[in-house]
Amino acid sequence: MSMAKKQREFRILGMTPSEITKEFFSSSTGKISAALFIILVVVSMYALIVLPPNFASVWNNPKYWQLNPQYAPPAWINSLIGPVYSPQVYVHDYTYAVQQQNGVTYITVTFNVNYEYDKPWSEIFIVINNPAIYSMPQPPVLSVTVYRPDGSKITLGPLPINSRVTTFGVASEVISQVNLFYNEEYHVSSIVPTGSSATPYIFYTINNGKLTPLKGTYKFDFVFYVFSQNSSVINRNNLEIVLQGQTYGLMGTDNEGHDLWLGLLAGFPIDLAVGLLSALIIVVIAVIIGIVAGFYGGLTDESLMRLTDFVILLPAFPLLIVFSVLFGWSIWDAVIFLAIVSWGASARIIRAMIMQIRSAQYIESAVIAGASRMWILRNHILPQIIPYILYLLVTNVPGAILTLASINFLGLAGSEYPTWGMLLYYADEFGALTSGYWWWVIPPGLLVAFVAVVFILTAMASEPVVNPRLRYG
Amino acid sequence: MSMVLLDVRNVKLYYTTTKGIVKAVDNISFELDEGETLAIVGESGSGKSTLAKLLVRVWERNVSLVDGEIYLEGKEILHMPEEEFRREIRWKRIAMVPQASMNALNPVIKIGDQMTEPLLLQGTGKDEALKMAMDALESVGLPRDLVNRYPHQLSGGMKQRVIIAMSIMAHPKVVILDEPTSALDVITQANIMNLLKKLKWEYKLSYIFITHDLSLASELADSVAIMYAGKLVEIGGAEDIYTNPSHPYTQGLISSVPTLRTDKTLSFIPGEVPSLINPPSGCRFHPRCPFYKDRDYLKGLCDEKEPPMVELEGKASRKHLVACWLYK
Repeated sequence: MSMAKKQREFRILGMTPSEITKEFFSSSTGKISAALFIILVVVSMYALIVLPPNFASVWNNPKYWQLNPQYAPPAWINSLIGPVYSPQVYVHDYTYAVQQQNGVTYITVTFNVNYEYDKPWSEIFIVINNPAIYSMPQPPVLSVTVYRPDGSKITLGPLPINSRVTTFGVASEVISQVNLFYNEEYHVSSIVPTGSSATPYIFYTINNGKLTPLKGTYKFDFVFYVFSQNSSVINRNNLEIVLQGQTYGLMGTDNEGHDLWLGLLAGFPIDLAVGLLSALIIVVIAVIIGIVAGFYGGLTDESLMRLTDFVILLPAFPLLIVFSVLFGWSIWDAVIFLAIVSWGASARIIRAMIMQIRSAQYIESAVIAGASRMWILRNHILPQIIPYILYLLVTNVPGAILTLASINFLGLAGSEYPTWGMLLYYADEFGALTSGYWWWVIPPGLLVAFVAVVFILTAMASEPVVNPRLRYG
Repeated sequence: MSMVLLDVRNVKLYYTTTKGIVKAVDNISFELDEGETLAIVGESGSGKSTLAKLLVRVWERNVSLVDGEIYLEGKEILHMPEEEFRREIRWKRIAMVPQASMNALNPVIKIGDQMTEPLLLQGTGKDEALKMAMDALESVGLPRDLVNRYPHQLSGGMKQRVIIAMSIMAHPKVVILDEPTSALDVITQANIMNLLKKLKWEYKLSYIFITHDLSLASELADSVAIMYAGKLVEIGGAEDIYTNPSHPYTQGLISSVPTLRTDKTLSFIPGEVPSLINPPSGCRFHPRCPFYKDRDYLKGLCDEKEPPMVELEGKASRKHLVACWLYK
């Protein structure tokens, strides 16, 4: 009875799962690769959970990113080089008061910000998430008073609030009022260059004839005039005030103000999926062609090998470029095409391995003992080529990711989701390399390399599992 | 008088190649008694391994002719259906130990799984097969738990013991040893030879011992058969062959065996084994034969007519037969 029970024990390659685990983790390569692989998978899962299901359309909607600074380095840059760039500030901590008089509602919003940077906030956005204000016969009006640390005061507005986002510093009233302030205070005319926002100049002063940052605490008084008794059109829940900084988030932003952290995060699942899918297709085709050719030989072998030669000789990458341009391929089309033209060398090696194994004496012994083709394939051939299949699978992943990153880098075979290759493409397109936007180039580049390293380490660590000749004891 | 176990009558095995027909085994007959060890000795290319494979009915795909009869315990086995031969005879009655080569064992399969493979294919239960394998390992002096090892964990001598264990696992009557020690060092060789003697006694085996080494054959053989170019040229009891080698080829072979202490120049047989595609007419040895060169009366005889088997006087119970015109 106990013998019968032992037989039913689950085994892969003659090993129980616990033996496999033990073998895999016996080397430090195994431990490291397992840890890195888990990181890769966990981050991918995290990305799928955290990112909204419609992330692709969010990413491609410029309005979603309009409050973010463009070309901004990561926020943590200040802790390395000191307080240079003002950070992105979402003002939450404000006082809010409502008064009503003669059918007009006065809403007063007051807050302080501490300015201690060399490069001031580049814009102030007032966001009102209430479509009702766009349809009012007379839109609300905003007037702002800024009390500066040197005791001076700038009064700005009134300007109408007639859209969801009001870009404060580009309103012509605001620009002329800031120019007027500088004229009266410092006798400098037209301080705000044409086409620029007036917002940064709220945080400057003239010192010895030079424009210098005026550091200290600024008090902002926002007064909204709503021409209605209904005061709830603007309230704490639908009002957002954003000071657009010059740094942003964990990973900075790109030319459109995309949060690169989210872009990099989205790259994990898609790059992993692209790599695994491509590797899987390559290996399945290579294994089938290799086994059939090597095992049946003769005319079958001859014709399959001519096909393989043809596939090997195809210039995969140039063809991928041409077809992507011609047919406007998506990244998934590119993955499948790449797999279909990349199996040649692997199939040839598998065939050669099988030819060699097939002529071994133990195969002859099995044949004369009455073993069928399937028996020989299962018991003698597959155990010897599985290590190689696994190796192929794991090593093809980084290759596919790199090739697709390259084709994305050329601006082809794009996807709705941002891949690391596409981030690199846009970085190149918008001069990240020449303008020193390192946060836009280095992280996606490193991540591509990281995935390659993880898979290669995994391949190395799994060798002793799949190849008994490398096992100890 | 012991019983005839294996009776081989006029067997032939020809191969077709692009260059022509290779007569690898050409009209060979001999008998093997129960408990007897018959050494088949010959140079490389003389067809002795093909003869061994013929006995277990394993041949290449390009074989063009298989002819003759082989009786095992009175039953014809050369022409019986393959399925019956496989189920009843191979491994169970006649087993073969292949040459000790690097690829006799699959490197990625455990010893136990390889040993039980032929038994499982014949329908033996897994547990029973494993027990038989372990018993066989024990009787070749290896630990039973070797079944869980891989071939790379074994030394060359151990591997050869495993292969021998595989051959005796199903308790056959006849074991064909195809150069079982040729890839091993002399110490291991001696161990294996002692093991073979022990097994022969324990399992009451009959051996057909294929070798190119006459001195090694003398260790084990009761009888010796000499093969040359696909033909049997001399067969007889071991003492007859060693003390009274009669065929010029046998004489040449024996005088080319080195001896300890005596200060003799080793002789050799000039020329080489002829091509089996187009062998010399008459006696296949005549182009290299020293007697043919010296004696004029053999001209027109050796090079034209095939020599008949002649029985000589001998001390052994086995008939001493030689195929040579010198004795006619």
